[in-house]
Amino acid sequence: MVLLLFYFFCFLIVVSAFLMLLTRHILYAAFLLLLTFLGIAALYALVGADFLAVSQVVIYVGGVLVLLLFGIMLTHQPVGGQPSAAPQTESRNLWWGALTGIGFFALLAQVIYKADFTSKAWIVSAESQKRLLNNSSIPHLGANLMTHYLLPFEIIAILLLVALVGATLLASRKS
Amino acid sequence: MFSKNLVSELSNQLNQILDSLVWVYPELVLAGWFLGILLLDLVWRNLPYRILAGITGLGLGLTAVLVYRQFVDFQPLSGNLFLGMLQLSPAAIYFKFIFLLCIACTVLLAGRSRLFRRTKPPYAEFLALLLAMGLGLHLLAMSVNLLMIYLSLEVVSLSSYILAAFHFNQKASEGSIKYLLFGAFSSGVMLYGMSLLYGFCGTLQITDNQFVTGLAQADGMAVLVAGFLAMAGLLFKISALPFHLWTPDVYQASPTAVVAFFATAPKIAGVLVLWQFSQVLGKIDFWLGNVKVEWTDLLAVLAILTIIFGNFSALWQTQAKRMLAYSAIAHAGFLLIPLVAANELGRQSLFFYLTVYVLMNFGAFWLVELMSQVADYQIKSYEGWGNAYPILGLGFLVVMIALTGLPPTAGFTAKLLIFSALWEAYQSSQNQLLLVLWVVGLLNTVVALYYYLKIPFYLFLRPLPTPPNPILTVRKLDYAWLILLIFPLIFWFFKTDWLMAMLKMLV
Amino acid sequence: MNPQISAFGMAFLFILGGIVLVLLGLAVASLLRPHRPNVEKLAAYECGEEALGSVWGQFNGRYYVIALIFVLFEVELVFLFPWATVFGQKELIEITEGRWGWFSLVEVWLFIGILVLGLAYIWAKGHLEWLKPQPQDTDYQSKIPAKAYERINRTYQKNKT
Repeated sequence: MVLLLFYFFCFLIVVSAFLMLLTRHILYAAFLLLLTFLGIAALYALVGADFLAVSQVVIYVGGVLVLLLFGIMLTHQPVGGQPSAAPQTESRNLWWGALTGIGFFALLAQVIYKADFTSKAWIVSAESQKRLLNNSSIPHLGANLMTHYLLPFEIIAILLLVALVGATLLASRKS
Repeated sequence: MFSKNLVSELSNQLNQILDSLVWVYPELVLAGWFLGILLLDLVWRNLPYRILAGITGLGLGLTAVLVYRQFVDFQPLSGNLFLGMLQLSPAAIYFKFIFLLCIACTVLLAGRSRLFRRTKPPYAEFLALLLAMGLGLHLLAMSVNLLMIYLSLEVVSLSSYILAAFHFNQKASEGSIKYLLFGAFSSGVMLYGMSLLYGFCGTLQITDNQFVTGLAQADGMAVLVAGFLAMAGLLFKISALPFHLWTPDVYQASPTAVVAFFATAPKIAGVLVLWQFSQVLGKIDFWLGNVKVEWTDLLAVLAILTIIFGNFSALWQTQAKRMLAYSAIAHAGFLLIPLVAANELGRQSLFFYLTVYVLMNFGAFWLVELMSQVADYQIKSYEGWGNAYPILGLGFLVVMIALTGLPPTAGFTAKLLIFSALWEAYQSSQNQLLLVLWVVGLLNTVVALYYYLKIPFYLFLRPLPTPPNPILTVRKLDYAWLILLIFPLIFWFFKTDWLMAMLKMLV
Repeated sequence: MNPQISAFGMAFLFILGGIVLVLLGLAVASLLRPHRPNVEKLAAYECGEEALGSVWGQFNGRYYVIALIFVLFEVELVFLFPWATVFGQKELIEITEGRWGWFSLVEVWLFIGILVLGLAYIWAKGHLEWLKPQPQDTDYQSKIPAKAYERINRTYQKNKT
């Protein structure tokens, strides 16, 4: 059952990602991205990363995608008095792009195939301790965030502040 | 609910974290100053640059004092901080000084730049972002954890994207957007590589034994690819191939002070992390089928490509800042040479090179900015100014000779040291690739002579177009700074031991 | 099966149910309804107003800044959830003699404090203010004197009372 769901979501992700590449309509691409994000969230849920799944939905679907849509709506100007022109992209260097993409994909696929993650010692020992999977991972994340990952946690605050200052500065400044 | 292990360790962990706090005072001050300047700007709007720069200088001074205290109090055992996130080493402490020096130079250069002042950018944000970048660089120099490396690199990158756009014109926006796109791409690639590395060994801490053994047991090609991907963000920061594309546009369009900073501090931090990274990966032999490949081979190929590309592209440039951008790419290749050598002399020569590199770059950009009063960054428009202002011209001559790597400057000593380190490595390993790199590096130094000396050529050997209507104002501050930056370049050529003696202590 | 996945499975079933029901409704409607389109019927329905121009207009740039700020604070919020589950844990506080509570509280204060400064920053810089339309005075001179209006008003007032 879980395996069936896994393949279903994989199918969803791959198909929507492909259509996203093929469509020239930016808005459709954005909505297909939504499907991809949701599929990835579902994959997280399937491997028991509940917090990650929810964050994925909250941040990417709820936040980043909305920002992306705003970006499209803001920058798009009807060209040459053609009121019905929907925002579209151009395809350039189609063959070189496809070749590079496929080549890189083949390389990474080979890397993952050769890496043989299922036989790694630490993964085997983690598999044997299914305790983590049986209840929510959030308290463990919280405890680690307060101890091992304390410094990254605080640096993230600084990083977000830098992003906030910079983004508002660039977005609102008129040259 | 929690594992027994976690609960029993908790008290101990809290103690360790609280003990670590003592060793990050400089970073706490930088963070505090960053927040403080933002807050100050909210309370008193539109403070003049002079006052804000003074306050920033105060923070930098305080940080420097605290870093010095670290240097005095340092014990080898005090290294491991925040449960293995950071590791303090004498080298990190030394380069923290250098980072502070870079920020101070940038603040001064921005204050001196007329173009920067004319566009009236928001000064408080400028200085605050510089301090945030300083914080990121300090952390980067100490990071031994992949997550921490990534985060501090992001702090540095995000601040850079914004600082790159600080002229707020179309050209600057274009440069900044390119920087952002390439940066986002390379940091995404880096994360991907890091996640693969984590998959191989189950730990993020690169100094951990588990990290090395995990990588050694994994498939050679997989680790090699993952390692290369994980380096992407760092290669981007030092503008080495194949992540160099942003460099010329950003250098051309951004304020000179910011560019001078980009050319030095983030590069140093990037090289330092790369050094640590290749120390770990250098221990492993990778088998691709029956062929043995070493980590340094990969670096050597990157170095060869970077040096050749940077130098030959620089030949065609007519614009001073663009030329310096390609020169920065070429230097990134030279900076990879000690990493390829990966021996003790390599470590020392890397530190020497980096120290000299900071001085050369700030000298060069300071002079370029001074000349921008009468010229528009075009090398051609420098005609004859060297005869009118001999001290400036002499400064240019020294800096350009140092960048080329010729005597009597420390630039020569730096190149000599890295090439001897590489030769030593070649002698011990008999790896043909190292010999190729050695020859390519030497030949390219000759090529570099042509484009670097173009500037002194125009300055001295061409007549000044008469009459020179714009007036070049050189203040006492300029002379003082130039002497401070350029004097060591010559001094360390004659007294190399003085600097080397200090660098040898940084084990 | 692992209980956590089945909890997500419930949510998934709800989503699936929503999609299926809507599709079902549309399918049934398309079977039953007559199909006779004309220009008026195909026009976009804008609450009774005539639709003018294209939907692909340009939005106000303010939306973007607000959305950006929203995303950043959302990311902040996500980090607070794991903290909230462990902050008051009796087990952890007892084993560390009360230090755990203070420790995690101070950490989160710092985290939120830094971002509150961000909020203050965007507030003080006016990014939260909405652009208000500036009313423009016209130089149009009416031929009817203002007194005439007043008189009409007065008569109607009288008639009402």
